[in-house]
Amino acid sequence: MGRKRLIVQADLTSEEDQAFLAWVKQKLRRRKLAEEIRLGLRLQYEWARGQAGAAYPSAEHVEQPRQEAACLPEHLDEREKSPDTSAKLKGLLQSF
Amino acid sequence: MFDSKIAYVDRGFGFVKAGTRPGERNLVLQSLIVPGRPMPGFGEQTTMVYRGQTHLVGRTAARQAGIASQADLADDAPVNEESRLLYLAALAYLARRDGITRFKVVAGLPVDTWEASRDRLKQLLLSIRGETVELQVGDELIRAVISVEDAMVMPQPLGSALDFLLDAEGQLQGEREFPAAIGGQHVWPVEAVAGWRWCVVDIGFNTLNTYVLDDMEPVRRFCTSPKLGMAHAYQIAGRAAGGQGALDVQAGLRVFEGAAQMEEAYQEVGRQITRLIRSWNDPSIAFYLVTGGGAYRLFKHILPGEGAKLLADDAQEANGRGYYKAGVQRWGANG
Repeated sequence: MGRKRLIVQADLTSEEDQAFLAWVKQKLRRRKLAEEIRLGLRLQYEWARGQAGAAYPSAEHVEQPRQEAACLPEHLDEREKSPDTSAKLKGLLQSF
Repeated sequence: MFDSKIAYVDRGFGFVKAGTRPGERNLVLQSLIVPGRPMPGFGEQTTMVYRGQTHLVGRTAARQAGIASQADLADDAPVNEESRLLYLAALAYLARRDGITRFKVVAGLPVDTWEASRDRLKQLLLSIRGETVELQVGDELIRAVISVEDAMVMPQPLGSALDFLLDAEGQLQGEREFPAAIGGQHVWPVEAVAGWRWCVVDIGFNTLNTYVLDDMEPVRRFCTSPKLGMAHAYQIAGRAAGGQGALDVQAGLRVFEGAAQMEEAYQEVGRQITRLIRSWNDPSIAFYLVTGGGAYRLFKHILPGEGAKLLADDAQEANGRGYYKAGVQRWGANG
């Protein structure tokens, strides 16, 4: 659903979106529909990453081991964690 | 007969996004409403009759009244009379066709006006009590009686944060996959992610909203609303094109899109957003979620080459979806 809307919303007159659309279609032909949603964020990311550099992302790119881009920030390991994140969420929403 | 339902209304400077539960009606409406009369024979029109006054709504207002923006993006725009009319129009569209609809509404405000204006917006929404609205959308005539029974007003980017974290029942359930490994793995339980420090980068028409959550608590010094939205890119492109205004560029976007000056303008705004984020110099921010109507255009220009960012799914509507999930969390699925 999200993907269809993304494509519909795109301004297909621009060269970039035409290329993006073609690239997504090429990717999806190779994969089962059930994988589509799970792939969504990664496809968008990889497209943007490919655009940021000169290299156009290849169809094989997804299959390759992905780059380790970030370490777990220190505070995630070391600080005292809240005992119940759900309770904190409820508290946050109650404040609105 | 009456219905009771949760609705989200995300009133941005550019567009109003509104809806109820996923799969039901939703709308994206240009944030424009002006008094005026419909002009038969001039294409599909959207008009609203309220308290005896006819208004042109959304694109119809832009086309027939020849205006491109309302209120000059005034600071009080989120809570002024035009806003109230836009909320009425949006809720009428979501209401049942006969009888009364009682809404519980979740809405949002830019980060920097949220604290000062949240109570006013909540009061504005709660002032909608038994209002009769006649909305004409093309051939469809909607006569609705609407009331707002309860309302929540949250900082806009928190909507995208909640959409990312919560499932359809408003619970912190499941897993999220990251394009780059964080702490050595790509997939993390949502409950763990909610405990991190992370940032929403919400690119709207007028403002950029940054919002950092740390274990589900906002970090105030990183919650900002600089004027770094798409309008800034349109201004830059307009200047490069010989002095056209931001709204002229937006109106002619199909012409500008793909032009070198437009792409350079996107790059420049992306650079400024990246500079802002890097100025925080906070390595404990685990990742950046880029969202809002400008997200698709600017994503590649923000933190270029860095893996700790991802693009919100269906980014223009992510805030609204998150509002809805927050509503389900607060009031239950049936409101």
